[in-house]
Amino acid sequence: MEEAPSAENYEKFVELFTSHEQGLRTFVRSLGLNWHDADEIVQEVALVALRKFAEFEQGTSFLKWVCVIARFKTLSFRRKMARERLAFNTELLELMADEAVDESEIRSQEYQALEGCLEKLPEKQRRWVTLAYTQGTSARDEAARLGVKEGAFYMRLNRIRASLLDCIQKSLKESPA
Amino acid sequence: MSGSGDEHRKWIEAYCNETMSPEQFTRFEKALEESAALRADLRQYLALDAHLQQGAERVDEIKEAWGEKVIAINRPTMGWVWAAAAAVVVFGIGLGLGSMFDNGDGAVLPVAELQDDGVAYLKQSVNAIWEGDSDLESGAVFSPGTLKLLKGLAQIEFYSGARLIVEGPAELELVSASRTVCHNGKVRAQVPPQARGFTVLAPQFELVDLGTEFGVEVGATGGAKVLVFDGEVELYPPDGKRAPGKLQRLLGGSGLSWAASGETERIVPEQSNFASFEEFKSQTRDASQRKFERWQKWNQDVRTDSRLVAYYDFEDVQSQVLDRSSPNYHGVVVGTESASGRWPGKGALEFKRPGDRVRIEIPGEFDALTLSAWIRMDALTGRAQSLLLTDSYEVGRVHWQFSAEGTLRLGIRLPSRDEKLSASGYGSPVLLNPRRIGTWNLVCSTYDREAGEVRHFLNSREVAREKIVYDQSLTIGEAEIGNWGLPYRPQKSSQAIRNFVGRIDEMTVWKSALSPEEIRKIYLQTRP
Repeated sequence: MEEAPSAENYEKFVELFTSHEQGLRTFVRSLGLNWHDADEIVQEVALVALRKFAEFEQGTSFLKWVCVIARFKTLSFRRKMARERLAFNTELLELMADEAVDESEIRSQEYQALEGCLEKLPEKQRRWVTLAYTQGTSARDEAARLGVKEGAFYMRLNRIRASLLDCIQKSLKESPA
Repeated sequence: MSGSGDEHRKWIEAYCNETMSPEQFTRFEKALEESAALRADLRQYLALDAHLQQGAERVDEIKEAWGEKVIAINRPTMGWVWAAAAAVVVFGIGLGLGSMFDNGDGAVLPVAELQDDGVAYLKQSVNAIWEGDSDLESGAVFSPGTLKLLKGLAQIEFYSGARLIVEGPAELELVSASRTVCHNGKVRAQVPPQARGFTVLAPQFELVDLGTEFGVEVGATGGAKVLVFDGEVELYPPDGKRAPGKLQRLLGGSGLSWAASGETERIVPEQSNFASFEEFKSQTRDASQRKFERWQKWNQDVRTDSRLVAYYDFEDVQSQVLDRSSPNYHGVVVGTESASGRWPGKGALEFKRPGDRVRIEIPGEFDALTLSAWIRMDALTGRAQSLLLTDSYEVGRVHWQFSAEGTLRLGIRLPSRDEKLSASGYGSPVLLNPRRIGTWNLVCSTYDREAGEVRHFLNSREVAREKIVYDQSLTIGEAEIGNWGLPYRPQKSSQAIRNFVGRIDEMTVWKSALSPEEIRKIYLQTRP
C-alpha cells in the first residue's frame, strides 16, 4: 500500500505532520535519544509516514500513529549502533517506547502548562533558560565561553528545570484537562 | 529497587545533561529496568528538556527572521527574502510557544550587534597587482588603511557613493567612507550629489568635492595636479583647517598644478591622461571575457578527467543541472532561479527560498573525495547553510556545509554512538564574515583515507587540515545541492532550514583527494 499520495493527501499530510512534529520529537527525546539522533529519526519517520499515509485511519490520533512508527525507527536505529555510552539496551528502550506511546496526551498538557510556568519564572532565570537552550549545539561550550564552570552551569539549569517541573505538576493538578 | 529518590533525580539530571559516568549509567540502567516510576520520571524530564529546546529554537527563528542574526545583506532584493521568511515564521508560531520566551522586555538575549568598519568596496579591477594580498577579489571590502596598487587599474566604490578609478602604481589611504589620502599615483573620481563633501587629501592640498568628476595626480617627486572635468571642487592648503581665506575654487574645465617647489599654475585638463569610467568598464569587460574563455577551456578539459564523479557546471540549466561527467546523473532543479555566475553569460542558480534545491544522485563508495564549488553567499543567516548534503545521514554519508558560525564543515556519519564520534565533522576556522557576502569564492574540501586527513581550502588556500578520527569509506547516494531535508517537508523547524542563500555556479566531485597544487591550478584557471 505504498504509493505516492495525491496532492490533496499530501497537503493534508504536511498539515498534520507539521502540527505534530514537535510532539513527535519530544517523544523520541523522551526515550533517551540525544537531540541530534532524535532529529534524524524524526526525518526518517516523516519519510515512512508519508509513504504509508494511506494506512492512517482518519479520525484516530495522528501523533500516536507517527509515535508508533518512531518506536520502530528508534529501535532499529539502536540496533544498528554499537553499544555506546549512555545508550540504553534494546529491551529497556523498547519498554520505554511502549510506555511512552500512551503518554502523548499528558506531554501535550505539560507543554501547555510550561508556558504559564515560564511566565512565573523570575526574569533572570528565564533569561538563563533562553541562553542555555538557544545556543543549540552545546550548552557546555556556551558556558565555557561565558567563563562559567560546567558544573555551575548545569547546577543552575537543573535547579530551574526542577522548579519548572514542580510548577507544571502543580498546575496540572489544579486544572485537570 | 535500587537508589533513593534523591539519587534518582541526580541520575536523571546527569543523563539529560550527558554528564553521566559509565558506572553511574550502569546503575541507572538497572534501576530503570526495575522501576516504572523512574522510567516515567525520566520521560517527563526529557520531555521538558525537549519542550524547552523546541521553544527556544523558535525564538531563534524569530530573531533570525527579524534580522538580529542576519548580519549582512548584500543586495537590496534580499530584503524581501527575509521579510518572507519572517512571515512564514510568524504564521508558523502564531499560536505556538514562540512568544513565551520573549515577554517583550528583552527576555530574549539580543545577539551582539556586529560591527563592520568597512569604508569602501573593490568594485572591479583589471590586471591589478596589490601589495600584500594578491588575490584581492571584486567585492572585497576595505577597512580604513593604506592600499598599494602596484600595477593595473582598480575601481573603488566608497560607502558614501564616491567612485574612484585608481591607476597603479598608487598609494592611497582610506580614512573613512568620505575621505581618502592620496600619497601618490593617479586617481579619477566620480562623486554623485549624495556624496558631496568627499575629500581627497594630498601632500599639496585638501580637495573638497561639491559633486563632480575630477582627476588627481600626485607625483613621487612632490608635484601634483588637480583636474576638474565636470562640476566644482574646493581646494584648501593641506593643513586641515579649511580656512575660508585660503579657499580656491576650481570649476569644470579648469585645473591646477603644483611644482615640486610648491608653486601653482592654472592648467587645462587633459582627460586622456586618466582612464575614464567608460574605458575602465570596457577594459573590465574584456578582462572578464578573457577569464570566462579561460574557464570555458578548463571546463572542456576537466570533463575528461577520469577521477571525476560528478561535474555540474550550471550551464544551460533548465529543469536539470547537467552532470558533465556522465549522462546518467543529472540534477533536478527545484525552485531555484537561473542567475548570472562569475561572469556575464556564465550560468548559475540562485538559491533564495527555504525550498530551493538541486536534487542529485551520486552512486558509489569512495576512499577519497574532493568536493569543490564556486559559490557566492548572499547572507550570513546564523544557521547552517548547505552545499551538498546527503538525504539520509547513515554511516558513511557526507554532509558538506557551512555551519551557523560560518565554518566550512565536512560531516561524516560514523558507526558510533559516542556523541563526539557519531556526529563527526571536520571543520575549518570561521571563513564567512560580512565581507565575503556577495563575492565569489572557491570552497574545496578533500577527504583522504590513505593519508588519513581532511583538508579545507578557501580560494585554493589551505585553511584547515585535520587527522581523520575514524577510518570510514564515504557514500553520497541521493543528495541535495544547496539544501537538506525531505522535499515535501515544510521547512519550519530550525533543523530543517539549511538552505543555501546565494548563488552556486559550479560544483565538482572527484573520487580522489586533489593536492593543494592541483587545487591552486584549478583556482587560477577558474577564478573570476
